Parts: sequence; C-alpha cells; structure tokens
Amino acid sequence: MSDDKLTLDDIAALIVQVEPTDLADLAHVRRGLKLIADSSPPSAQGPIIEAVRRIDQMTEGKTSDPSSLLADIGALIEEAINAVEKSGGDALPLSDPDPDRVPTVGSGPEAERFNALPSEIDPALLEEFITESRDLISSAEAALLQLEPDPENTEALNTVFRAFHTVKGTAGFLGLDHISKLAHGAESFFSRFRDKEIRCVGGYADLAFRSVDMLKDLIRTAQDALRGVPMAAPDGLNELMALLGEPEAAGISEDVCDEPGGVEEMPPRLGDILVAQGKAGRQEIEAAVADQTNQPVGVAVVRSEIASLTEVGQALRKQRSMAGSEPVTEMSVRVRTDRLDRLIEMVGELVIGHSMVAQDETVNSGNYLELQRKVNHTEKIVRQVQDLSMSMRMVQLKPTIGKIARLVRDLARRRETTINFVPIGEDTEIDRNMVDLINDPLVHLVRNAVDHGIEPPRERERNGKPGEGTLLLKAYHSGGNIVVEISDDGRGLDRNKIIEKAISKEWIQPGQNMSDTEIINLIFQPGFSTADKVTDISGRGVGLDVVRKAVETLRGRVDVSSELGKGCTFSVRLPLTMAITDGMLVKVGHQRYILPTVNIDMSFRPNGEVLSTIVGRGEVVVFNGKVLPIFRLHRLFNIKDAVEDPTRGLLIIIGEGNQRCALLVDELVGQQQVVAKPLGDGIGKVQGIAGGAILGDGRVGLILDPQGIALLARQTSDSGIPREVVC
Amino acid sequence: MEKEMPWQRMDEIAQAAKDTGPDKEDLYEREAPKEKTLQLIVFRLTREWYGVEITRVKEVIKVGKITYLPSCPEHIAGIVNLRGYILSVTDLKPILGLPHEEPTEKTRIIAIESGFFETGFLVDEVVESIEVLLSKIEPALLTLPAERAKYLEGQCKVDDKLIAIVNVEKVSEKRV
Repeated sequence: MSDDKLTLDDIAALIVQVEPTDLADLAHVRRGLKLIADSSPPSAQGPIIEAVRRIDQMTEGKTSDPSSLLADIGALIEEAINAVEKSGGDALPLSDPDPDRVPTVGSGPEAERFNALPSEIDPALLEEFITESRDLISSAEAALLQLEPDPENTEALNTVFRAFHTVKGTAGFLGLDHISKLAHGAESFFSRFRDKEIRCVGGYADLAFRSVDMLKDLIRTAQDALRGVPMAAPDGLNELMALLGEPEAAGISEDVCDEPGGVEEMPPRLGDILVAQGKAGRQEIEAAVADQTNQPVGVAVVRSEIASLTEVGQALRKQRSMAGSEPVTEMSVRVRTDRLDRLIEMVGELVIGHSMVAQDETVNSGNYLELQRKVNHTEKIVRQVQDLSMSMRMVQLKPTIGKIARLVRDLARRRETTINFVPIGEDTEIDRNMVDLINDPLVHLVRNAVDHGIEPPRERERNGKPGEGTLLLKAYHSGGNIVVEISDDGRGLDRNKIIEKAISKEWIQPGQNMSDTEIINLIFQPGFSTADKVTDISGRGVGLDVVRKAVETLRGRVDVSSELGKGCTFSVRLPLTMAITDGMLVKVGHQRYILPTVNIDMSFRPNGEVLSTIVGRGEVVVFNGKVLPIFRLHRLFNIKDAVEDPTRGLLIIIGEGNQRCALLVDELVGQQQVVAKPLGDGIGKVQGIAGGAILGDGRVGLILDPQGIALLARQTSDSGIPREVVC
Repeated sequence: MEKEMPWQRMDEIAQAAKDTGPDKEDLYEREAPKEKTLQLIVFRLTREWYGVEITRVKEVIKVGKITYLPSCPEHIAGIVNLRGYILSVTDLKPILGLPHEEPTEKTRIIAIESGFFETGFLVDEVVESIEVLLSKIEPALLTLPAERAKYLEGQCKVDDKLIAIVNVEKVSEKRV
C-alpha cells in the first residue's frame, strides 16, 4: 500500500518544488501523472486528470499566475492521494514507476535509494575506503583544475582517471553499488577525454567537476552510514549518470554553458525552514514525522495539514538555495607524513645527542652521582619519546589483510571455486607509509596465486587434493623486518613450462643448463606469464617484475619457494619502516658502514678450505653447498688499511633477490638503528651507497646498497664475477 | 673585523641610502661610480690566501671526522654531520691544483650556502674577515692556467697578502 502511495507522493514532492517556468520538469510531472491516472481508482482519476490539464495550461503559458496554478495542482494531487487512500490503496499497481523519473533535488528519499550499504560490510574497511577515497578525490580535484586550462595535460587526466578507477574497484569489492556505478560512469566519460574524442573544457569540464562533487557526496553518505544513518544515494545521482552517459543529449558541449546548478551539499532540514518561517510549529512537525516515519518530511507535513503544499514547496525551494556543506569531523588529527618523518628524525638525533651526554666522562666518573641520576632519568624520557614517535607511524596490517580476504573471496567466486583464506598475524604492525606501498604487490601475488596457482576443484580432486584450495597469508616480524608470506597449495611453479616460455620469448636457448634459482628468476622478467589464457583477473602481461621492483624500492626482497604439484610460497621481506634503517655496523679498515639487516643472510669467518678461485681470479666461497662470489668491499671502495685475508676477516652473505654473494669486511661492530638521510648536496648517486646516517658518536656512516655493490663489482672485474651455481 | 676607517663608514651610509634592495649583482660591477666594498672571509690553503664573500658563508665549523665517500672525484673530501644534517665537504686543493696536506689543529670547514646548494669548504686555516674596496679587486692573474682561473673571481692585495677570491658558483658547478 505504501508503495502505491509513494508514487503519487513522489509526484507531490516533485510538484511542490517545480519552478513554474521549468517546462521540462512540468512535462515530466505530467507524464508521471498520466501514467498514474491510467491505473488509479476512478475517484482519484478526476483530480489527476484535472491536474494534468492545469499543467498543460501552464506549459502553454495561458496563465498569468503560475504560482497559484501550481498550488492548485498541488491541492489536486493531495485530493488524489486521499482518494486513493480511501479506496483502499490497492488500485495503484504501479510496480513499474516511470522509468525516466528523475529524482529532483531536495525531494524526499525513495525506497530504492536506501540500503545501498551492504549489511555484512566491515566498518574498519569502510572507514579505510572513505579515507582513501577522500585522498583520491582531492588529487582528482587538483588534477581537474589543472586539466581545465590545459586539456592536453595527459598526466592530470590520468590522475583523475586513476582516482575514479581505484574508487570504482574498491567500491565494487565493498558492494557500494552507487559509488561504483557513478565511478564507472565517470570513468567511461573520462575515457572519452583520454581517447581525445572530446576535450575537458566548457560543459564537459563542468560535468567532470559535477561527477567529482557527486562522488564526494556519495562518500559522505558512506561515512554517515558508519554512524548508523541509512545510506541513500544523493539527489541527482541518476540525472548525473544519464548526463555522463550521453552529455550531448543534454546539450553539453565544449562551450561554456550554465548547467542547472551543481550537485547540492547537505541542505538544512525542511522542518527547520518551516519552523523558521513561522509556517508550522516544531512539535507539530516532529509529531507528524513520527506518525508517518516512512514518508518524506514534506509529505508528512502536508498530509498532517500542518502547512499547505505551497508553503512546503516554497520551503523546499529555499532549502535548495540554502544548501551548504556539513563539516566533516574526524576522530584523529591528520598530520603530514613529512612532518612526522622530520619528528622521528629529530627524535633520532635526540637519542644520539643524549647518548653522547650519557657517555660523557664527567657523567660517568662516579664523582657526580646526582648528575648521573638526572641523566638516567632523562634517558628514560628520551626512550619513551622515541617509542612513542615510532608508534605514531605504526599501523596494523589488519585492514590490508581484510581487503585481501575480500579480494580472495571475490576472485574465487568469479572462478567458481572456493578458496579457504587463512590469515595469520593480522595484528602485525608496519609503518603507515609502507602499508600503502605493500598493498599492490600483495594484491598482485594473491591474484597470481588464485588465478595461476590454485587449480580448479576438479583438477585438484584428480590429484588427490581437497577440492577447496587454501591460501595462507602469514605476516610476522623477524629480525627487525616484517615478512609476509603468501602460500598456496596449488600446482606450484612448473619448471618445464617456465623454460618453454622463456625459450619462446628467446630469453634463453633450448638445452641451456639452468639452476633452480635462475629459473625462478625468469618469472620475475618483465612480460613473463605462464598462464595460457588472459583472464580478467590476471595475466595481462604486468607480471612479477612489478612486484619485485616495488618491493626492492622499499628496500625489501621477494623470495620464492615452490614444489611442483604441492604449492608455492612467495615471501616478501620488508623493513618495518622506511624512516629508520635497521642495520649492522661493519668495519672496513678505518671506515664503518651500515649494512641493512634485511639484506643479511648470515656472516661467518671462512676457513681456507671453503675458499677458492675460478679461472685464477674470480674468488668464490662454498657455503651450504652453493658457490658464491666474494666481493671485497675494501677493493671496491678503495680502502687502504683493511684486512686482505678472508680467513682473518668476515664474510657476510647478502641476498640480492635469489642471487646471493659474500661480502668481505674486517669485522662486525654491532647492530644499530639509523635514520637514513641523503648524502649532502651535489654528491648525487654514489654507487654502492644507499644513503648516509649519523652514528652514535656523531660521525656520518654510509648505508650500503647490496645491489649497487654487486653492480659495482661486475663493472670493476674484467671477466665478470661468476654467477651463482649449484654444486 | 678590521678597525673601521671613517671614510668607509660614510661610504656605507651613502650606499645604504642608495640601495633600494639587496642586489647582489651590483656587487660585481667593477665600474661602479661609488666606491663599493666587499666583505670577505679570508682563509689559507697551503701557503696561499683565499677569500670567499661573507654573504655566502653560513658558519665556520671545526673539522670532526670526515666520512670518506668511495668512488667519488678527488675534490669531494667526504661528508660530515652538521647537527643532524649531512653536509658534503669540498676539498678546494685539487680544484686549484694545490698539493694535498693532512688536516691539522687549525683545519676548518667553512659551510657555504649558494642558492639551493650547500657544501663545506675544507680549508687549512680561517684567518680573518676583511672588507675590501671593489675597485681594488683585480681580475685573476693571466698567468694562471685557464681551468684554474675560472674558479677565481679575482684577487686583491690587502696589507701584504694577495687574496684570491673563490667563485662559489663555479666550484658548485664542478660538483654537480
């Protein structure tokens, strides 16, 4: 019953805000009314037909007082509503309301606009989505502003495009249909810019801005939904969607034109306006609304005969003009990360400065106990400040893993399989900046595992595995690093298939003898994919090389272990934070260097037996059955007073992806956390050095870059260092 | 500061009245109608005297331990810690063709600021700060080899010392 009334009520809500001169809207109302009239009980038909006639009068301009005519129409519709109600309300089978109906700005909510928020959604995920989307929107806004005066700016266009694309994807996962629908519409619209079909100027630019505004509104409704407010599509969404689909149909072109008002912000409440105008009492309105909770406020007010339809209409019009923005409040203060970085850096300096005081001879002489006590007290505070400043940047991996869980579920569903996703260590903490950066590589690895790793259920059962695949995501801290392992129990890497593929790509020659590590290295080559077919999930040629590159820029590494038919494990090892490097201080002659612990496998002093040379000059060491090249740091860096004899120095096995080598240093001094800084002005890139850091004694230490060292070693040796070979 | 001559003071006042803003370019105009002065920090490299314009000098620091940078050109002496910032240290001797000498008690680093660029000049001794008339500054000696002369803006004679003025820009360019 309420459904039927809603339709007429919609018209009522529409009519009260129609501008008498707006022919399009009037025509729209008229069409709606005619549809209703056909299926109305006879008692209601009269007023409706009469109302249609009045509209005709208005559109034909036969009236001198359109406002009063509008009021008449309103009254007629009221009459019709009452008539329908009296007749039992079962005579309006309008299950299919006017398909072209455009929800007008400021109209009451309609049933279909509610429940856009899926019930099973995780509030934490949604919150993250909102924050992320806001960032994206603001970058899109900035880019659009750049784009308008300079429509050829492809970079700006791509930024906008990417923003909408990302929002679309995530909203899709979260089941936020309105948002993904709008983002999709906008994306298709922007793709026309990208294809140079139209340019982002004039009406098109306005439309682009409107879609960003609409997206903002939608995100706001999503935030309201977090507070328990039912989620409704903002007004004008369908209208905008239609415009985005076919802007030309609405007369939008590259010329500047006056779009009928942008998308509205949250307007003041209708009831408040009526009260302010003295048209009705607050209590009356509240009572009326409480009585008829399923009705828009305007309709409820009119039907309780508190105010006339015209008055409500005027109030609605006023509401539209008054629409202002509602401030968005957040629970936390957002601080620019560079400020936070600077703070952490300064705290690092404070710690070093304090340790200089604490180690001062005067303090430690034992003659000034009081001073020593005070220094100790300060030390505690300094430590606390350090812990606190570090923790400010640390966040749990939970939201990231939650997103991945969702991804796995959706991917599995698309492939019509079920996958048991087992997350372990969701509360592992990682630097806030890193979270964003590791998200993509992890998503990539998960997609790979689901798409290429885990077999279809039937194939699994044939191979004696449970039909349901298992994907294990394990995050843990290990030696100052965070390790994220993604293991599947799928088919594992197929050695022959990889070789076949590499041969077809002409990377290797048939019959070439290759070690397992070398083969695994092949999958990290750009353009590599063993998937026979390209699916919508993965296999588009963007491969593991991207993952490796992304991880390496974070000073991390990717390791792979795989067993054919049993599964495959990718483990991503990353430093906890980019702000602080956890390293081992090594000594070479009088110089000290910091080797990031993430790169260190182990260190040992070799005895003569494990050392040998290849072709008389390439020095190698046999370690765990593998032959590794030795790089002498003192030779590479031209340091005079270092230990020359490896049996009296120390070999550090450093991992560079799957290619490891041994670095000869004099000795290990100890472990130290340092703040990585750029080497002073004008020095640029020094090969083998990742950056500088202030050490505990105030001197500058250099942070080693293992990849750079390997590169340097290859350049300096004539014949090239022998590659790793398996014995 | 050298003790100030009354005429110098007057000159400064006249200059201040004339100058509407700090226009550095003006300082290099050799044919300036009024007597302009240049304030220099004078330092020693081996047994020679050099000067650098004081507006370019941020501070003079004692040499702590300089960290050697591998595979860098000879004139980059290394890097030092300047209150938490890393400052690169430029050794002027290879640039000016002077022999290398081990640092002593008097060795200092003059922190130089040149636009966006900051570096420290490694010098054997910082001597004094003096003010010289622009008119007394002569172009660098023609007898100097061209590749060394380009790092000097000119020279002037104060008391009995011949002071060569280092061209900060040119030195910076060499480093980048």
